[in-house]
Amino acid sequence: MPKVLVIGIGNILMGDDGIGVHVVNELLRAGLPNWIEVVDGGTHVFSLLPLISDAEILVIIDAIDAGLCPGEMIKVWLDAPKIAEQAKMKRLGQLSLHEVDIWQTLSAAKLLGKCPKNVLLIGIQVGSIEQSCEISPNLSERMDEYVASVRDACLKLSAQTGWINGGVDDAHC
Amino acid sequence: MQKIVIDPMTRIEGHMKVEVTLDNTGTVVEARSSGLLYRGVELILRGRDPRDAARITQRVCGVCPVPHGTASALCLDSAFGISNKIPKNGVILRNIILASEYVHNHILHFYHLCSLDYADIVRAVSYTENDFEPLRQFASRGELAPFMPRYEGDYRLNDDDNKALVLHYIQALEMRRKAHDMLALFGGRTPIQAGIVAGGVTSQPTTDKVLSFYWRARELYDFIANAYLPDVLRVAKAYSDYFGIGAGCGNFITFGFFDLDGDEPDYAKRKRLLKQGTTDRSLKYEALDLSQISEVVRHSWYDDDGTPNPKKESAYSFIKAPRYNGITHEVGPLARLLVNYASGNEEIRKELEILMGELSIGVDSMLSVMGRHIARAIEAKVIAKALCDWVLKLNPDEPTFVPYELPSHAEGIGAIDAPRGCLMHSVRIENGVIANYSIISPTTWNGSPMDDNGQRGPIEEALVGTKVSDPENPKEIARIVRSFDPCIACAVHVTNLRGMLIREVRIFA
Repeated sequence: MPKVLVIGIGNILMGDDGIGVHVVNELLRAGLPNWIEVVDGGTHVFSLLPLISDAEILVIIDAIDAGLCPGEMIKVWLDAPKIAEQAKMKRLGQLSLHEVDIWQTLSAAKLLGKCPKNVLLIGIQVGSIEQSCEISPNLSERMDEYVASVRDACLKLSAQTGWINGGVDDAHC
Repeated sequence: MQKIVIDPMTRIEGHMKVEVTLDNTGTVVEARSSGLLYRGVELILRGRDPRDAARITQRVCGVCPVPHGTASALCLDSAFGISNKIPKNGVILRNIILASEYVHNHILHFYHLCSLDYADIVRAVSYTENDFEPLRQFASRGELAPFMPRYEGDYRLNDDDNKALVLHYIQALEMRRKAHDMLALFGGRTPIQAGIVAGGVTSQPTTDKVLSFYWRARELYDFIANAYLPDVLRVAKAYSDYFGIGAGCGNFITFGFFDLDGDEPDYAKRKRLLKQGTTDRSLKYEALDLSQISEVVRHSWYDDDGTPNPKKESAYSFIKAPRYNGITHEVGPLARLLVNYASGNEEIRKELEILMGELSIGVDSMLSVMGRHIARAIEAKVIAKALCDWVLKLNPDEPTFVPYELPSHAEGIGAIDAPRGCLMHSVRIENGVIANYSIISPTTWNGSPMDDNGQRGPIEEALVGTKVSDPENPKEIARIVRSFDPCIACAVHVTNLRGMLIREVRIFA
């Protein structure tokens, strides 16, 4: 059972929307210790529930639109109230499976009693989300930084949970 | 910590809006289904190696990568001249990978998207049995939020039925895991599988994989037969008025699927578990003729030559209007069920007649919201049973893939039914690369706008004439649209005749 699960979410056909998947592909190329599972999650996040509910630590890499400069990265620890708050107000207009988002997926994991104890969201501010397989320069030039950052976060988290001997104090990056 | 309001962006799949107009009795007099996003996958595929199509088209849609991958592989097979040369193992494995996705999709759709329109999860929190402890804890932590707010005022199940639905809602989350484990066994990974390629399938069946798959498939079959189907019946009995709501256009088309014979190169004639064809209210079966399919654009944001034109005045959608014989046709589980009922598929007939007997309804009533849910559940059972049979027919010593040569010039077409209905991929190859690629997806049929002859699309037609009991709580509209399982992000707008916006429900944060 994987202790750490890293999921990149996004549509690689829609420019910067696919940044999560691009980061995951780079991580796979760079290589990670075998207790860290790295998954290209595509866009149907609800179908990731079985994977999510198996993990102790979940790192999500996703495109965000938070009004930051394109390429800017933020890290947010998600706790239960935050997840519940984000997940609400969705059901009324929800007509299609596409609208089941990461918040509701985490809620479903909680309902099963199988939500990872630690959930870290790494969000990358998008520039362009036009139809394209390429990501914009603002993001692509920082790819090494993203990969290093996710890698560090995973290793620190593993250390903190005692899974490996790391001796790092601050897992909250 | 600095306070930042964030939202992972809404995934972009092709936003859809459904807008209905009510008269002063609350009856829907006009309905418009609009796709608000232009998608041109051909722009991305043009100039690439044709084999890339079976990988890239899986990303067109987050919900159904597997059906797109399969349709694309069939399309490439036909362009490469090998559509009748796929080894038997390859044909079976493709069925198995796609069928696992079908079963997953149908369970997900009924329980996790639709069932809480009918079952009352709030009341379930007050149940004292041990089974409800996780739900009570969940609610006591204030985590019911994702299920709220909801349309109020129409939760009719008795406590016994309500308990069954809510418990199976939770159990279904586990069942979906099993279906995805099955998919990954031969598809290599999930959600976006890597197994199905032009020429066959990349993975080789081994005895332990076969057994591992078989036991999961049996469990899924048991869940469908003993929970899913009975639950749909519970809902159908309590909400029998929904046999009279959302009838739709009354014409049905399916490309069929799950190849039972790989020797026939023409997909429209190939022997399939669920047969291809068309039917209508008379339930007379007609064979499928792919040349009768056309797409028209009077109410779509395209010029007649297909160039996108967002300023076109008569248009309200980026979805084109596919028609068969020039007539609106519904696609999806109900279409497959009725076409196969009409063509004399014995298993389908038997399953449907048992259910109709229990509900005291005739086939006419199947043209409805409840009919679509029943059709999906019957289909899930038939497919889960077939999965158990197919996996035992795999031969670990036989090939799963046929080698081929890439043609420099060729055309191909792939036609299958995805869970939501007819899916067609077509390709033209020039100088060894893709010169053109196009996709007609299921929701293009069901969510299509009005055509050049003034015929509405199937979802529009299903909405018109519906009495909305409470415009502030337009549950009828949501239930109708959801019964089609549209593959799009939607917003429902309810507008009265004076054009005043009564309520706008948006999904996007």
